[in-house]
Amino acid sequence: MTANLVSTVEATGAPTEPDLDVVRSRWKDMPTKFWIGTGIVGVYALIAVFAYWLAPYDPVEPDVVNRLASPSWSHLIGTDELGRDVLSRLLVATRIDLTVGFLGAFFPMVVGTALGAMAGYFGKWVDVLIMRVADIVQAFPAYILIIALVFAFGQGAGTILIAFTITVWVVYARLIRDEILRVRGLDYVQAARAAGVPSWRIIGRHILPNTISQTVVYFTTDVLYAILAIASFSFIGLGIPLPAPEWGSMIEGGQEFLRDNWWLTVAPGVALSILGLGFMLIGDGLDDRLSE
Amino acid sequence: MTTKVDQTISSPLLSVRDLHVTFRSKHTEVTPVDGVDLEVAPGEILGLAGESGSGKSLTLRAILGLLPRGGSAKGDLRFAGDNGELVPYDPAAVRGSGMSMVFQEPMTALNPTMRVGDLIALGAQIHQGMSKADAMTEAVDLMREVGIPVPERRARSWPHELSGGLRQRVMIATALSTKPRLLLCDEPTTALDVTVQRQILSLLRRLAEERQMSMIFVTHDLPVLASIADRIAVMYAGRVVEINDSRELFRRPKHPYTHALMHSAPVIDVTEERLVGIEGRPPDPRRFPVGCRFADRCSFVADGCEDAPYRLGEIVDSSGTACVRELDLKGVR
Amino acid sequence: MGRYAFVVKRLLLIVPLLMVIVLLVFLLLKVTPGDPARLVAGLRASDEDVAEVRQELGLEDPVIVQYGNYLGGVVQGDFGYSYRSRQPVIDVIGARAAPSLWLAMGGLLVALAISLPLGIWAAVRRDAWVDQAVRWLSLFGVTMPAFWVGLMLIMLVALPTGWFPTGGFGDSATEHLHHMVLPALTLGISLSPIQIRSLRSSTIKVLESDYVQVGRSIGVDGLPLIRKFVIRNTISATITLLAIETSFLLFSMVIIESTFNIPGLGQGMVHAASQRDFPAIQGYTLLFALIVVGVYLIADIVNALIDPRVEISA
Repeated sequence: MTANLVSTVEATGAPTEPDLDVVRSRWKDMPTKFWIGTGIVGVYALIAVFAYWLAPYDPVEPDVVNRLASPSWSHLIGTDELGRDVLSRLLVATRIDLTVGFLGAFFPMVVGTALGAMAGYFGKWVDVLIMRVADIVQAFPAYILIIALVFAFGQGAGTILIAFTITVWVVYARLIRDEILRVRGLDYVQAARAAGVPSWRIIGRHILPNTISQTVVYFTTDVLYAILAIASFSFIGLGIPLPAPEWGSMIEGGQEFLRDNWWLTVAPGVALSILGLGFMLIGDGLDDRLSE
Repeated sequence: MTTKVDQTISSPLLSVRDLHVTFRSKHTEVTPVDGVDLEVAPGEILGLAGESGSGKSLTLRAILGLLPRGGSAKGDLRFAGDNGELVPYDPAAVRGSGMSMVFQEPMTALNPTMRVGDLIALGAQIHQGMSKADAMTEAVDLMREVGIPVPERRARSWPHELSGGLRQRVMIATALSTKPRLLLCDEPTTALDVTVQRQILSLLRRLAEERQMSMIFVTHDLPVLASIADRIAVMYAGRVVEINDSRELFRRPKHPYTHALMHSAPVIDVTEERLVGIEGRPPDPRRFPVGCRFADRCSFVADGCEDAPYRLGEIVDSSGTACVRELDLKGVR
Repeated sequence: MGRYAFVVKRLLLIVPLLMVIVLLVFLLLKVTPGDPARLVAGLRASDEDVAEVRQELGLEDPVIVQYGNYLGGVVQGDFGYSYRSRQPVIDVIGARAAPSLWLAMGGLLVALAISLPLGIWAAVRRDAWVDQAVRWLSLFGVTMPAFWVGLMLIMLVALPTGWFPTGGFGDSATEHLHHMVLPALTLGISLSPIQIRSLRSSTIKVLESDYVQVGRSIGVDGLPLIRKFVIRNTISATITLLAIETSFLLFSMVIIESTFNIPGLGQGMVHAASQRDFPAIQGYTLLFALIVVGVYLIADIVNALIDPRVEISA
């Protein structure tokens, strides 16, 4: 097997930092998959916003007479075990899953970035304290902690969001803290500070570009992980409580009818996967572009 | 972009004609090696000098087929077969039998999870089908030959247990393990201490002689070649700009770049790693200028230089230059 | 220091972490709303009965004492008594250990069998169609939750062919094997995308190294190159990867055991959660946390022992 392997190329100089202007100009050169991903997520976001208007039927109201109907023109994806229109439930589930998922990544990002910035900026005991807490949190297996917290505080979106925030903030904190420390150590930054360049300029020119890009890349995949976790918890009955439509609990509901009414499980799964694909494409596209 | 076909060697071991190395990425295409011709005679040491970015290392890698990701080589490369006939060769095939390379950085060149003896024995095992025991004996002999003390014990060392100089000797032993007829040396002494540099240089010289082995010795440090090379080729901006017998080159350089190289650093005992004294920088390989590529830094530039062709002229008495002006430049001897 | 001393030292460093974990687990239940005493006594019990139960359970003691008791119990293997079944938690958990072990082992095997060849192949043939295909496959794999994969396998394989049961664990070793095929496959598929990505990345890093170029320069290529140069230098990263995956593996196990109705630890934890069985949930959480810490420790030690660069004199 002849392999197309790599050897080292001579380094031609010190590594450069991305300038904020350069970061802005890169938007034009995003790879196709990024735009496809954004398109997909955009469509889902629109669905989420207009879900209640788009849904032909009430997603929650049971209609037992009509239960387990096959797909037809009146019910495009049939009805579930309580007679509810699957399509309507899917549309509303989009709203719930996407919102909770997004928040489930957003809150940790805000908390983590804030704490990490504090640790990096103030240093000393603040840094030590925050990083110790981070170490302890990271030592505890995240998913296990989430299960334990869900148990402690009962199921529901609130619990899950708290659980995510408590476990995931660490990554964001380390991202920005490490960047701050790195920039602090650069010779020309120290020179700039000595010369009196104000902090906000240093933050804006040197810290933000790298941090923003890395954070955004991580954020996009984090939303996906959040949605997957929510769906998984709902599947086992510890997530979004019934009767609210959620992809995971819909799949659980359709589980016993796998043989004859397979669309009850396939449809939510496909909906979830396509959204997931959208996020992965965005994250991958960003990653590709930023590592060029 | 070829130069004269008949160089001075009657039956060369290696012939490189019109070598181009190109790197393609999504948006750009760069050709840092842009038409290089070289020949190496059996038993000869050819020095290849140039600053960082001249394309000298890539030339070596292209000869062996070990280019970095995204790189591709084009050109007429021939290696002498057993009967002495120059034939085009498959780099993958020649690596284990006719040619090998000594790399620059001893700290990273050795597999950290292999004992050095095993590494040196590997070549013999794979290509000569030796048993592990026989290959180890051979490896110990090689280690002795390259000057590693107590080779039987050292063979069981891990790379991280050895000093830079010892590691480079292991590197050389590894390169020799496949009994190459041509040894490509990519700045083998650059990363070493000065005293060790000298030892390694004289080791390489001795090995070439004892084994009747040819060598291409790449370095940015022209004076180093004074003590080891038979002929020297100087590269700048992707092409060879001068080639001559070593002594002659130092006595009377025929290209302003060679002249500048010689006079910007002491001839003997070089400690500078950077080229000091020539103002300006080499041209960007993405946008090589038309005409002479050294014109903007040349102390002897004249009208017409900027449009002058940039390639080795006719080779007379084994010397050639790319400079179109007939200059009488002073050497260092 | 000798090998044994090294291991012991590592173990000692873990102790503070373990204590913090036990503390966190203990505190977790303390802050949970709801009255455990009432749960045990029953909804129709009188207030006196509940008070009596509270006394029995030691819930009247100061928190520190309760913690001390709990910690002492844990160290001796006493995790308390399940509210539900009145059995010692350790027994309840122990009974469920075997199926989970089968699942975990099977899943890891499948995951490695998929990700090792694909990850390495993709790295070696970087940018070629193999690489693209593998990357797209693992990209897509991430978007499918474990329960979905499991149900699809049931729908597309178990139901139509009838070759595999759709759930349960069976009674004999052969039955266990039979029942575990689809679940292990599901777990393996869930773990693969992360593993492929990581293996590909560490293999590329090794392939770009100088020493691999040296290997190639003496004509070592193909399988010998992979064996002696690549695998040896990616083992450490792979072991670390497996350690890091453990938390996700345990979570996936919980999900998959629910999907396939396997009477393992995961299912146990879910039942304990929905039945609000405080000691049981404590026990499971503690166990899982200990498993993860234990795996990290073992990975750390193994990595140190196999790396020739680490100085451990015999």
